[in-house]
Amino acid sequence: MSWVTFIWSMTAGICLTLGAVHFLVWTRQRDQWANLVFSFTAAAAAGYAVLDMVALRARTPAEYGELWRWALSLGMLEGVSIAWFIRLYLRAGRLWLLWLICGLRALMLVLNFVPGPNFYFREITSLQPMPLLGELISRPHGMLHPWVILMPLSFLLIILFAIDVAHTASKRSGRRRAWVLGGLLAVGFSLALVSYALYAREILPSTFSSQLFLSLILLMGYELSLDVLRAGQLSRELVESQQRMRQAASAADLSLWEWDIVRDEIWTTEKGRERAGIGASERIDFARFLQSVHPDHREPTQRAVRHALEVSGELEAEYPVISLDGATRWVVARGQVERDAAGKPLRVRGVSVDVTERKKAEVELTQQRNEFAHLARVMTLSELSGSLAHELNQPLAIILTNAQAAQRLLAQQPPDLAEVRDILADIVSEDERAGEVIRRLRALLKPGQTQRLPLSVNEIIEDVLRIARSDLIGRGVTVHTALAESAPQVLGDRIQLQQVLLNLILNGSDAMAGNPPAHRHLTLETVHRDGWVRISVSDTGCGLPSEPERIFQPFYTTKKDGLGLGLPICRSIVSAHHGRLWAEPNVATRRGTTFHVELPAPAERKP
Amino acid sequence: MSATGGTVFLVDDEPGMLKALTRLLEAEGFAVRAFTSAKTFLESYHAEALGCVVLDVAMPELDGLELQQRLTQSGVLLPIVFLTGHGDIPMSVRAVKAGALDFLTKPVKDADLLRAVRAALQRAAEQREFIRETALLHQRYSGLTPREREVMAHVVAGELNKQVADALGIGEHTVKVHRSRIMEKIGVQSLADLVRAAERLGLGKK
Repeated sequence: MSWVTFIWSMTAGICLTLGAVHFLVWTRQRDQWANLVFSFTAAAAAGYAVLDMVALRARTPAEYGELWRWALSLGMLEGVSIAWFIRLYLRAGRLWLLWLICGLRALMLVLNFVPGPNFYFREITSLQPMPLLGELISRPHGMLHPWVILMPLSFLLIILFAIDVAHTASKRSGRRRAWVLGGLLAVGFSLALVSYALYAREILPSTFSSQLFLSLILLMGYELSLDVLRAGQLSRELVESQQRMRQAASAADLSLWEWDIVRDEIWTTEKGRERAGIGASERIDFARFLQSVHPDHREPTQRAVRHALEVSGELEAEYPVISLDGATRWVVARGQVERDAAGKPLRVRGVSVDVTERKKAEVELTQQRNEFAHLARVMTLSELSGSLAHELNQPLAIILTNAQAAQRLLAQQPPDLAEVRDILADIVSEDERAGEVIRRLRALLKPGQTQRLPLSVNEIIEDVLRIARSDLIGRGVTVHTALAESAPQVLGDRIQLQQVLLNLILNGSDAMAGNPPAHRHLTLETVHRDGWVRISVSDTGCGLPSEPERIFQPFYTTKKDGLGLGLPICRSIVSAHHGRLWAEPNVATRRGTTFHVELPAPAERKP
Repeated sequence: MSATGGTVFLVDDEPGMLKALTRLLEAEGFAVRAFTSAKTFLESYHAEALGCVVLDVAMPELDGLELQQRLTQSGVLLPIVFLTGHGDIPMSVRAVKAGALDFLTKPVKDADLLRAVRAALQRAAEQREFIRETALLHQRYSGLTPREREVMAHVVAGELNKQVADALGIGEHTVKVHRSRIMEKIGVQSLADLVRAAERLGLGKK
C-alpha cells in the first residue's frame, strides 16, 4: 500500500472514530452541543480527507475539478463548524463575527457551485504528475478564480474569532486554558492560510488540509476528553463530598432532604425517614410528609412552605413529628428554593434538626418562670394582705349597715318600702363588688399557665390601681394617671402584667415612705406609638443606686425584709412578652425614679 | 326618737358607706349631714353647730386623725366617734388620747354605733349645758359687790364665819348677812353648791 493511501485514509479513519465517539457522548447528554458539533466537524474532515485522497489520483482535469468541488464544500462547512465549536465549548466570542464567518462561507459555498470546475479554479487546463512520498500524484494546473481571495479572508476572520473567544473566555474564567485551544486553532488556520498560498504558487503538491484538519480535530478532541476526565474527577469528588456531608450531618444529628417539586418527590437521608416515621423504601411526596407532622401543626407548616415558595425563597419551619416509636419530636427544617429561569420553583433543598431537647428546656423554663412569678405574686399579695382585707371588708361593712338600716325601716309603721328597695339594690351591688375583689385575688393567687390574649393596657392599670387602692391611701400616696386615649392593646398574660405593674407601684410607694405625705406622688402614664406601648411608673422617692441595672439582679434589695426577687421576675415576665423593662432617674425633677415597661402593641383596637 | 338634739356629721370617703350610715341613723331619727372628705366637712362646719362627728380614719388627703387634730386646734369641742376598717391599737390609742369618744371597727353593729352616737350627742348636749351654766355663773358672780366677793373667797376656802369676820375686820353678823346675799345672788342653796360654783368660776386657785 502507498504512503499516500495509508496517511490519507488513516486521517479519515481517526476523524471518523473521534466523531463517532463524541456523537455517542452527545446522544447521552443532549445538552452537550459542543460534542455534536465536534462529531459533525470530524465527519466533514473525514469526508474531506477521502475526497482529497481520490482527487490526488484523478485522471482528467474534469474529474479533479468535480472531486475538489465537493472537497472544498466540506472544507467550507468545516471552518464554520470549528468556529461554532469553540463558541459553544468556551461559551464566548462575538456573535456578529461568527455570523459574518457563516455568511462568507455560505457565499463561498454558492460560488463553489456556479459553472466551472469549482470555487478555486476558473479552469483546469491540465494535470501534472508530481512526486509525493515516493509516488506520483496529480497536481492540477490552470487559472484561479478571482474570488478565491475570499478563502484567505474567511481564514483571517476565523483566526480573529478564535483569538476573540480565547481572550473573552480566559478573561471571564481567569484561566489561561482557553488560550491553548483558541491560540492553537488560530495557529492551525494560519498554517492553512500559508499552505493554500504555497499551493496556489504551485510550490506544494497538496494543501495538506486533511492533515491540518486532523490536527485541529485531535486538539479539539483532546479538549473534550479532558472534560470527560474532569467530569470523572468531579464525580469522584462529589461522591466523597457527599459522604463527608452525610457523616457531618449524621454527627450533627441533621437530616438532609430535597423536594423535587415538579415530580413531587422528597428524598431524605435515613435519619430523616426515621424521624418522620417513614419506611426506608416508601416513596415520599409532600402529602406523605405532611402526614408525619402533628395534625395541629399541619396548617402552619403548609403556610410556611407556601410562603417560602411564593415569597421569601427560604424555608424555615418548626413542627412536631410523630416518629416510628410513636414519640413526638420537634423538628426545625431550613431550606432554599431553587427556581428555573422563569422563576418557577423547581426544588427545595435543606436540612432538618431535632430540637426536642431545646423545646423541652424552653417549656421547663417557662414553667419555672411561671412558678417564680406565682411565688412573687403570693409574696406581693401577702405584703398587701392588710389593705386587701380592708378592700374586702369595706363592701361587707356597707352591706351590714344597709341591712341593719333596712331592718329598722321595716320595723317602722308604715315602713318606707321605697328606701328599703334602694337599700337592697345597694346591697346587691356591694356584694358584687366584694365578689370582684375575691375574683381578682383568686386570679392573682392562682398558679396559672401563661396566656397570650389581647389585653387593654389601660384596663390592666385600672385593675391594679383598684387592688392597691387601700394600700396607697394607707401610705398617703397620691396617684396621678395619664393614660393614652388610643386605648392600646398588647398580647399577653393579664395576671402577669398586673403583677409587674403592682410590683412597680408598690416599689414606688416604698421609695417614698421617707417623704412627708404631701410629697408622695405616683404617676402612671401610657404612651402609644409605632407599634409600641410604654407604661411609665414614676415616683418622687429616694431614687436609684449608682448602678441602676443592679436592681434587676436577683437578691439585690434595699428593703429590710425584701428578697430581691420582685424586679428580676418582673423583667423576665416583660421579656417573655417581647418587651423591655428598665429604670431611670427623673432628670427633670431631680427626685425619684421612673420605671418603663415597653411592650409591642401591634395593631390599633378596631372601633 | 332621738333623746337629744343635734346633728350627726358623717365623714367617709366611701360613698356606699356614707349612704348606708345615713340611712341607719336617719331611720333612728337622727339629723344627719354626710361628707365624702374631711376637707368638705371643714369648709361647711361652723362652730355653733350642735352635734357629733362619725369619722372614717383612713381617707385620702386629710385623714380622720388629722381632722381631729385640726378641730382640737381650732377649739371645737365636737365629740368624735371613729370608724375604721382595720383598727390597729396604736391608732385607737392616739385617737382616744386626743379626745375621741369611741373607736369602732367596721363592720360595726348597729346597736354599738347607735349607742356611741347617742352617747356622743349626750356629751355634746352636756358640754353645751355646762358652757351655758358657766356663762350664767360668771354673769351672776359679776353682780356681787367687791366686799361680797371677798367674803365669798373666804367662805369657799372653808373658813368659819368668825374667822372670816376676824380676817376682814368686820362683825360676825355682817358676814352672815353677806353670805345669805351671796347665796341668793349666785342662786345656790347650800355651801357645797357654792363651793362647786366657785370651782367652776376658777376661784380659789390664787
